[in-house]
Amino acid sequence: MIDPGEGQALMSLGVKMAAGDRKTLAKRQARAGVFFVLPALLYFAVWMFGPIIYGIWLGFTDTSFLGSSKFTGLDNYRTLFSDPSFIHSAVVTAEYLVYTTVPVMLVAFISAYALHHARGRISHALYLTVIFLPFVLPSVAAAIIFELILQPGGLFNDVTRTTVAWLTDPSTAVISLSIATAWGLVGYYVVIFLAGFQSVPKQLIEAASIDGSSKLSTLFRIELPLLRPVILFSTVTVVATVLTNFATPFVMTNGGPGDATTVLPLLIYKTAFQYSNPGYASAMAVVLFIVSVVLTVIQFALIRTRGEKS
Amino acid sequence: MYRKRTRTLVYHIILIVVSIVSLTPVLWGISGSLQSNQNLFSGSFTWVPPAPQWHNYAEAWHAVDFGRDMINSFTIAVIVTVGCAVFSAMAGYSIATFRFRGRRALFAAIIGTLLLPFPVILIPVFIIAKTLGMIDTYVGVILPGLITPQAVFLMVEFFRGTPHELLESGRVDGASEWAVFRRIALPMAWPIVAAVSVLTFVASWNNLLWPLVVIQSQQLYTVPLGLAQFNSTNFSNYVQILAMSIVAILPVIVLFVVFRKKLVDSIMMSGGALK
Repeated sequence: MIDPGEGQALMSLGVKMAAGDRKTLAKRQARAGVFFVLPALLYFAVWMFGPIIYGIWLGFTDTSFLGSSKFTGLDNYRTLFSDPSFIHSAVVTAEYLVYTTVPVMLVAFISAYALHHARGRISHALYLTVIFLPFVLPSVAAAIIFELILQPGGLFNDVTRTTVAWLTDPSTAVISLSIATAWGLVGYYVVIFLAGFQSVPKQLIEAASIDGSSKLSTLFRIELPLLRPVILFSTVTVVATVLTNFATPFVMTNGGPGDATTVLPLLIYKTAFQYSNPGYASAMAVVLFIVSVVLTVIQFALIRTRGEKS
Repeated sequence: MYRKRTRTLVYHIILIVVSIVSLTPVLWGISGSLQSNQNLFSGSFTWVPPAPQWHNYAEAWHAVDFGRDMINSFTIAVIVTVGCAVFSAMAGYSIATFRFRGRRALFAAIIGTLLLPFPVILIPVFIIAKTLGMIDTYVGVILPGLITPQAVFLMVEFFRGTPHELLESGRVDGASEWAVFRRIALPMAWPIVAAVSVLTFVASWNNLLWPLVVIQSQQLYTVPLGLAQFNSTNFSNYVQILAMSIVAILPVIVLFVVFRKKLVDSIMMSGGALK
């Protein structure tokens, strides 16, 4: 997958062509290739690759948005790793990740399994539409609805017959964010897992059932192992998505009560734009960056195994 | 036979429960937007409001000039969608069909940013935009998020599957590379272009963090920004906030209903890309 098509047409044509012609054609191809990719190349250079490098540099500085910038070496990092609010934020972020990722994976996997095995074309399309819908809704609007549902006396209390003040109790505030976030993500992964189930060769399933294998052992012996790359890939993507999520915590709790739900993206935003300390915030961003690099390495390894197989 | 039926029943129960959980918050939001503030958290809440308070919508609409926010969001989302579709299609086409130096490295670098959380580059992007004089301008809202790595990735995957012979026949006929792209490659790519466009539109319509830092004057407010600000300043006015949220949701629901199949298929494609 990393390896793009080698221009088979070029080679097939080349048979009929003199060596000189082949060279001009290759040149023409290269020129056209650069022309088509140029806008994207410039865009990514200025707004992605450049900022990554610039951000790493900013992490070593004491910078203000007004223009002053001073190189301070590792000072930001020394402060960072003894800063209780940062360490607390890292812990909260980890909790938020776990509370969101685990239910999303479980619910999406079970739903996709049921959807794949339950017959009925119309009901299939209907379930898929309804379950996928939350994924496209604006997270600000969804967060507002959940903020109100989770109010004391709100729908959530009614349904669960509890009197917990979900958002204002520090022990449940992170879970509240996870509920809203997971609700918005499940549908996407149902679709991904459904694609996974559909790609399992039918003959394998039939052979297993002829051999007397139960549905459950077919699931664990055949489907689950074959779906392992999809599950890993999805887990990595969910983690990255949750790490990107700013709107849900910003709208639902704005980090509160106290700093009980100040996840890293929120802390970076507040440190830079409310406490006007972008240099220090950049050091936090670098930590988040390192986590995302680890995730990316895992994802690349997964994509490569697939490339070798095909 | 009996066991098979029980199993099917269990599958449907699971799916019905998940469907109900998916829909309930939206339905509650719609119901809540038609109630009164006193009613919402009292024991007398009913799903179908006895006297629908339609004026909540009119009041919410005028409370923050929500029409202006809608027009801003719409304009921005349309420009981003068109820009992303054009440039990602060109890039995907190039990476998938041409051979040139650095092509593989570039593609690896672009998909390397697939999982990059935007907060990581928020501050440098802000400083760059500020240096270029883009703060509090439409260009500043639009440009830094224009092309997504997801779009390029999907386009590359798609164009890898297009038959080279078809493109070659155009070249043999003497058409320019641009004409080959414009008249042969792009029309074939319509389904994926549509799917990428819907995903881009939705992402732009829903984006909060970048507009929040780059926009200062209310004239440029987007829907999520207006909504988030109204929510933080008028939180006790629940029903109006709900009415605004429902209005913000509606365009996305319309798009979703129209393009559901293309959207689901394109996601299945990216999921299927793993086997």
